[in-house]
Amino acid sequence: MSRNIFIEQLQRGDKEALSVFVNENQNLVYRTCLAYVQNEHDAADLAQNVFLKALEKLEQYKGDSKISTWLTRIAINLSINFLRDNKKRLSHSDVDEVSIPDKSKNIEETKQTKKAVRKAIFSLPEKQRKVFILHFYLELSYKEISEITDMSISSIESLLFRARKKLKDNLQTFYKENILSTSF
Amino acid sequence: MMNCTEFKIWIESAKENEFIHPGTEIEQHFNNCEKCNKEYAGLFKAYTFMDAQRSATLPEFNSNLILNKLEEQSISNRQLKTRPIWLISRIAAVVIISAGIVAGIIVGNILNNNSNSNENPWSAEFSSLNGDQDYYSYLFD
Repeated sequence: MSRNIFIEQLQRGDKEALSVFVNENQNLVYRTCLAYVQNEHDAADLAQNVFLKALEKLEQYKGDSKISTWLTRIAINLSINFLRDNKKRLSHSDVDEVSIPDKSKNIEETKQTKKAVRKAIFSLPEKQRKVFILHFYLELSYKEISEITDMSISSIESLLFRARKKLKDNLQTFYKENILSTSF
Repeated sequence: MMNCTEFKIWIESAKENEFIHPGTEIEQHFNNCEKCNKEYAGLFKAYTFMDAQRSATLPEFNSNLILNKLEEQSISNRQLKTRPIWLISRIAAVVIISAGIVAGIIVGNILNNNSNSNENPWSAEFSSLNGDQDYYSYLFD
């Protein structure tokens, strides 16, 4: 099915087209939001808003990029807005205990890890964070990141290098206060 | 076998995926060296946690919720799109009818003024009633 026909079907509210639209892109959108806000509930709510926004702005979609690229841009923008609007609440809130990736491990330990990652991600400057999330969480190539961010590949490489270093340093700083012991 | 200095050098340069899937040498030193284990355990856990996040999937409940909301939104959008056309057509009808009434009044007035300026057959008869003359005065003379 051509992209234009698909977009027309979405605009008409065709159920099957909407279903495909959501199912093919929901995890990408969710992971983008989760990487930004570091909270499963907020990420799920944001994902919903991303799709609603996309449907609202469907007429603006020119078809010059993939739908997933376009959705990622919307997800990033909404996530950034969410963080800005909820700065106070997020800075004082604790991590939630649901959806811990590995339930067999110590819950307190996992909670601490979640806190460390959240703090480290939040501490990255916006551009570094964006590039890091797109590269690590969404596993996009430099070229794909460049399409989403309109940045040059050399800028992306530089930002990614600095993001990685800063993230690692932030994590190390956090863990210096809380020494853990584990093994593979 | 790797020593602590080499291990720290590796830590400095390692990227995320290398923490998630470290080589055998790294694992061996990490598991056998208490000092390095204590110092860097958090770092390995953090990257493993982030790896789990990037495989996260949206819960089915949320997925169904999104679909329902999108269906509602698209119905609402279709209604909003037709509403202006309905409204505009009714406004246009009112404007046209009003314009017709106003035009009719104007044309009527013009025609009326034109007919008033023509000679009145009774004007001569009534011209004698001008001024102070009392029409019935001759009856009482």
